[in-house]
Amino acid sequence: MRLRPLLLLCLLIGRPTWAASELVAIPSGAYVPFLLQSKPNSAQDQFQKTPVKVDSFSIDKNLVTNEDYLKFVKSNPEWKKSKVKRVFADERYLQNWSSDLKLAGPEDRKRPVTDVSWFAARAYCESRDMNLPTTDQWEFAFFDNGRNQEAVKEKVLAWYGQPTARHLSKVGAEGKNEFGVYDLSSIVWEWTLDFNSSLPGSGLSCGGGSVGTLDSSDYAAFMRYSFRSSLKANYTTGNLGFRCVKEKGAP
Amino acid sequence: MLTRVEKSCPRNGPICLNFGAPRGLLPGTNIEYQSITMKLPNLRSILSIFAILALSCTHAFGSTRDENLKAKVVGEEKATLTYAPEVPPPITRKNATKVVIHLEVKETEMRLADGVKYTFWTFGGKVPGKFIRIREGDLVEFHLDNHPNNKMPHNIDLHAVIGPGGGAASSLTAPGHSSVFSFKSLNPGLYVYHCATAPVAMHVANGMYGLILVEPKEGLPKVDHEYYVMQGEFYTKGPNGQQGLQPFSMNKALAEKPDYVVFNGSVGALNGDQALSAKTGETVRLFVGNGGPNLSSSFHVIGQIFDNVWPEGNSSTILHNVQTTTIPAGGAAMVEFKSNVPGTYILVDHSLTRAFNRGALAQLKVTGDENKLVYSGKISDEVYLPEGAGIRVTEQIQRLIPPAQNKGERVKQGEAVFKTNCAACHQPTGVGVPNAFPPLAKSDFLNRDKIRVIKTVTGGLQGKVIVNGQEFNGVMPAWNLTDEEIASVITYVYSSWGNSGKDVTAQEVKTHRVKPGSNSAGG
Repeated sequence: MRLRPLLLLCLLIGRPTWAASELVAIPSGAYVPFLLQSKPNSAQDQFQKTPVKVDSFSIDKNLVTNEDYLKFVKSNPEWKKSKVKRVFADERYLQNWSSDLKLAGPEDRKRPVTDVSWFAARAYCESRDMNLPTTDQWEFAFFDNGRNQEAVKEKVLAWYGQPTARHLSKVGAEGKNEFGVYDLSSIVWEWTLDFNSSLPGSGLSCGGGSVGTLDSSDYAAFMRYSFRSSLKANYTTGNLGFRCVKEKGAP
Repeated sequence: MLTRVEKSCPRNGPICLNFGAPRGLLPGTNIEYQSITMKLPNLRSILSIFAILALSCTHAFGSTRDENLKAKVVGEEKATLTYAPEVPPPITRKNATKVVIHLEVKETEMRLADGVKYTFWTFGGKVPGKFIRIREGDLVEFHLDNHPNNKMPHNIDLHAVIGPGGGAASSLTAPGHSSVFSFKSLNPGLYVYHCATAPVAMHVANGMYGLILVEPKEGLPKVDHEYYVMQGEFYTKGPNGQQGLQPFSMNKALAEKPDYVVFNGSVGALNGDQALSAKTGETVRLFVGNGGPNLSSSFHVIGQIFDNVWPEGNSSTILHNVQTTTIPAGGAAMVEFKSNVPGTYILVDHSLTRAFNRGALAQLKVTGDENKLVYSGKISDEVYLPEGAGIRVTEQIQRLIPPAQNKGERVKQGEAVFKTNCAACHQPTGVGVPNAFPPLAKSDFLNRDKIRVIKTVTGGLQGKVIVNGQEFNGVMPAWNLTDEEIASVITYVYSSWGNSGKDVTAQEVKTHRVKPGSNSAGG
């Protein structure tokens, strides 16, 4: 019941012309990031659980779909497969599309767009006067005020226990969390604005990577941060999509 | 004689100093210790030979780190990688070279046990990862290719590499991408490689490990067979034997309580038609690794003694006459032995519930002529009556449990008898162990004839039997149980796992039981 005002708000904010641009308002709050911060002026291995404040923002209810992205490419031809510069997207960019402006099949329309680079995802969000979520924003939305965290971890781990699906699920298939955001786990990974803020040098890539994390038994979180660490801004992969956010007070 | 020994000496102190050991071969030779010592004329000659050998054998295989760093790299070649249990051929070139290695990471669903599937993360498509064989001093250009369909980023930590993360810091690779780094192999030995992406324990638990051999410049002593065996444990959501696709259990991994401990990636991977093989008189070298992620292995081959063990995969200290060798998680060893007697030899982790209940069994089949001097086989089987104990020993001992009055009670009591006496081999769910212990579930052998079953339990069974179309060739001992206990356990088995539901009474057992000393049921 308490979600109803939020949903109403989403409907108000959402642009009627873009079905998938329906937004969910995330209230301001704080959470402790999985990667802890070093204590100032301390030895390297001393960490503290510093809560990070997150201002309220709005986030796409759904992942950006192929259909959404196709509209974007139609009005921004520099992002066509044949036009895009390699420095902005690698060879795999939109590789499942049959041509510049054609999806492989009609059933792909409601599936999340994948094989898009960070540059491309960001350009898409900017075309909607939005941006990619920061890692803090995304993780805060995922954290869901601490609700159902064990169930979510189980779900994420189960996702890895299955081979990559030949076809991704349609957006909305994996359900929403208590904030009302859909599919934050179990269909694709998602780009964040500062995805490379935890680089391999931070220790995540070794066995010692458990030092300096909030919960060394949270394998699902390790996988998200590892995945982000493995990326560069022009990389595209078949199980990496995105959604956009709007800051509070932004037009 | 002397020249021959010197020439073939592997320049290894410990080997030469163990010259007088009663059994085994000098590595790299076909010279048996015994035959050499027999021909030595007197003590002085023995001492002088020892002195010469000690001088010529004072350092280990291979070169020092500095020598390998300076070793000139000539030419270039593509590495030949092999799936377990095969091992690439020995390296014959006399110089260091540039070696190009491509290793592809694939996340793939495969068999973990009969009816049990698992999504493995692999180096090369199978578990363990492909065997890599290079020579000390080689300059390796390593390409780690992460298949586009994979969900996870991966990297590789080769324990043969000196540098941050053993290569892991330079090889974190997103799906659909490829990383390249190079290293110079400075230390000879047998090393584990594994994925080191967080959460590292999960990547390893899903099968991301393999072996890389850095051969010393002399090469390893020649043997007739080289095989690749690697232990690892799996943590599944369902218990051992639960059918279907099983996801990884994070909680069981954190508790270090695996459901499966296996050699080469699945239960029975080296059993039956896939068993390792050798002929009598041949020498066998096993490259044995342990991926873990958590358990150390007490590696043992039942019915063999390791003539040589290169502990920790090192190239300088060789142990002789070893029964069981510890292989730590993230470690490896080379073991060598000569197969004198034909038969099936079982490779186990001698932490035995892993072998009997979780799958840590593999087979080496040795064919060829019997050698009755080395091993006679069973000569006789007679009743043993200790002095003073008299006939009581062969009488049934009175048990405290009241006899079961009906079939329902027999099934209940039989379950307890089964768990105590039978489940270790035939498994708690009666599925048996392929190629080792016949199944009792839906067993045609069992359901055909209950009198034969009574004779089997009371008299034991040895030799070839066919159960549900599978051939087994093993030994079941005669069980010293009361008529009531045997009636109960057989009734329990008949009432379980899709069997015929027959009832067996204590009176029937009494009538048909095999009396001690008479021929056993199976002969």
